[in-house]
Amino acid sequence: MKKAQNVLNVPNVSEMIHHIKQCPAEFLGQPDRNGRSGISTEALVNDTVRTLTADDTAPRPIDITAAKRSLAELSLQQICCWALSHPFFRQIDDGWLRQFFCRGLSEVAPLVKPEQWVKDEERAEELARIIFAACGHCPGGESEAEAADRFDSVNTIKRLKVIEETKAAMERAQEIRRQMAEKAAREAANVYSRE
Amino acid sequence: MKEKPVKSADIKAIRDRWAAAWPEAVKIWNPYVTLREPEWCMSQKMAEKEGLTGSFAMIRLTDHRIVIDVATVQDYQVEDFALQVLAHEIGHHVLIPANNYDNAGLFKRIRIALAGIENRAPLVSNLYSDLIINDALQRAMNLDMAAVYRHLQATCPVASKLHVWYMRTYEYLWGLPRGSLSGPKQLPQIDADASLAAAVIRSYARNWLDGAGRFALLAYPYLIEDKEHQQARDELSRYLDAEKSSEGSDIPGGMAEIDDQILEGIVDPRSEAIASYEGKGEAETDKSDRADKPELSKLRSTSGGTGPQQRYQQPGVYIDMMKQVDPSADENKLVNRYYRDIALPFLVPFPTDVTEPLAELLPEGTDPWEPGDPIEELDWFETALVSPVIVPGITTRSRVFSVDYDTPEKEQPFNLYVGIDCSGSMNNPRINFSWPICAGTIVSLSALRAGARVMSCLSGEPGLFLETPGFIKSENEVLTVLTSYLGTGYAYGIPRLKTPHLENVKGKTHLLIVSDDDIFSMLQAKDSDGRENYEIAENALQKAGGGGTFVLHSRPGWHHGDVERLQKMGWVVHYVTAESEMLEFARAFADRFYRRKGKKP
Repeated sequence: MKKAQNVLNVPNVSEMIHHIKQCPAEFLGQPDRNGRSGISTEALVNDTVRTLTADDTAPRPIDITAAKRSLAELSLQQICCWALSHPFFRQIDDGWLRQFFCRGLSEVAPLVKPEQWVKDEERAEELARIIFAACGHCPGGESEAEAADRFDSVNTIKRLKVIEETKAAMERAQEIRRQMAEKAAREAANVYSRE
Repeated sequence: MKEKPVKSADIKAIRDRWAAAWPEAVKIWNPYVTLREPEWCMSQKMAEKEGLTGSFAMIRLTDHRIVIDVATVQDYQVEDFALQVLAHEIGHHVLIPANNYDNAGLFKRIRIALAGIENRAPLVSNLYSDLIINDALQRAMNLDMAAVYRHLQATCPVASKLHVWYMRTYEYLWGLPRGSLSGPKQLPQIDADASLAAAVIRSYARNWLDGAGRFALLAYPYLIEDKEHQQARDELSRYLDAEKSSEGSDIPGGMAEIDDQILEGIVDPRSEAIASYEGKGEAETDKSDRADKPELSKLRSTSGGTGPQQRYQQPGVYIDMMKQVDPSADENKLVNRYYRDIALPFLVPFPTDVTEPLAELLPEGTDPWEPGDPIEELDWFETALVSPVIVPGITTRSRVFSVDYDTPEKEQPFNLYVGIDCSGSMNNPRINFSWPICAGTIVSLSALRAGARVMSCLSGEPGLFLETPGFIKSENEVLTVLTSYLGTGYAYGIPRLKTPHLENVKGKTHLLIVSDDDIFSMLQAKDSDGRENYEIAENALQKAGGGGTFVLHSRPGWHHGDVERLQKMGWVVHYVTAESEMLEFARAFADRFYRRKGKKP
């Protein structure tokens, strides 16, 4: 399954962002979690894997257990199917795909509204970098350290963890602000009130 | 000494290069933008005279000018960035703040967010505006703004947290390597805040007024300490080009009000982020939209909402804000504007004249009738009078009619005397919202609108009084008296009604006195001849000829005998048990006396 990598032309982040933002509306449809209506994420993911592994007849290569996943995660998987349609991913090893679809998106998906991945520049960059990190390649034109630093910068999970960790400091600042506002309002109401 | 002429020649060369770049800088925004070329200050002394200190450029919204300190441009060695700097300054004129009204609106939002440290608002406003403009130039107009910042930051100390956070935001926005603008003092919290600030800048690039509160709340923790704030100011001074952009401008209206949309924008993006984090698995719902938004009523009370429906800032806060927007603003004009803005929705509509034709048409001589004119216009009788032989176009005549309009009898509105108790028991209307002054403003402006003359008088006696020079039509003078403050004595001084202006007043006048229970002590007081002030009140009422009203902050039934005595004279006594009821009184009074011209009570 290993593919030749001697002429590997890794796209840069801007190219991937542009590609992600071109995501057709079909990939953004409501996922079908209960087998009633909507898009079958499982079928889409498996089609993508078949294309990337060049094994068109493989019977259900990945079981994503759609019923157990949140709608946000299924939506993100659909968007990733589009992102992976970039020709670059056909040139590289495909061993990472199972892990990526089964575990790679579950933590970040609920933190971002699905449409933000394709509308918001920063989230599209984050998705591009998630995919690059998962497949083990650095974006074109970036060193490993640069890629890691930039990924850190746009990483929603890390950012929220920092905010959580500094929640106490934030709440203290908010409390100071609230007290200052109330003090000002109280002073204004009392100082010159009528006899 | 030898270097100086060389430097001055350099400065001229820089000025010429920058002047040459001006048309292109305008074109970046829009070739149809009509702005005058900047004022080039060839020395720092000249720049200081124009009010430009610290930075090398600034804008003035009053005359739509840009001022460039060419000498400082040379000092900072930014002479090669003419296009970027000029385009940035133009951005302040065409994008943010663009005009005095939006500039004041921006200050208002940022000040509400910066509760307790409102004096930092100009700094935050300037930083926010710069981010919006620079991001638009860098990303939408492909101008290399990052190069200017890389150049300036190379020689600038980055020690304060606000500075690190601000520059880190640029790094986020433009995908620059960590520390390339923000220096080595990186902290995870600053990093997270910068990422949120970048998201705010992107999200509110168009509706930038709505994002100002969020941005200010992100900056808040870095500005609480005076020392931190001062350090940040010092470090960022070279970028502060729009702090006083509205200096010397007219006072924009509507700034006293805090509307719901403003309060809805005072949300901490950190709380929004945490709310979305806590709503794990529910990203598809709009949980983040509901993030930690306190109720509007709570926000109103913490932000000091006062006046009708608690929708207005306190006058002291308003004056402080407007003085930040325009440090040269006149306090009298500001407080007048404040009460005028609040009174406006309650004024009577402008009177309109209704004219009806008395007769439909009046015959008025004749004109020649020519072939081609409507046949029905041919007046056969007049034609026959000219000649029995009819020659079309020669002897034919047509009748000319004119429309006569009725001139209806015009009723004169009553002049208005407004006397307001300004004794020690009254609020200072410049610091706290005052219902009596608001009511006085509503009735006075309504009277002026209806064409009446107004005399206003503040009195706190024994002690001081302040009145207009007679019955006048100047809105500003009337309001200046009303919004002043005396704080002397115990009640409105009834001897004020002995004014010669009332003795010789032309036309009927209504007397309106706003006071409280203490007015009865004043009425019972005697002058040097042993006569009670009741007599003055009675005489004044007779001379005025248009009736009189006492509005008393009291309870019906109190001072029963005194009230009866006043009523016998012809005075109407109206009680308000809460000061806020004065608003309804003023509205009804204006409606009764001044809606439609001259409607009599």
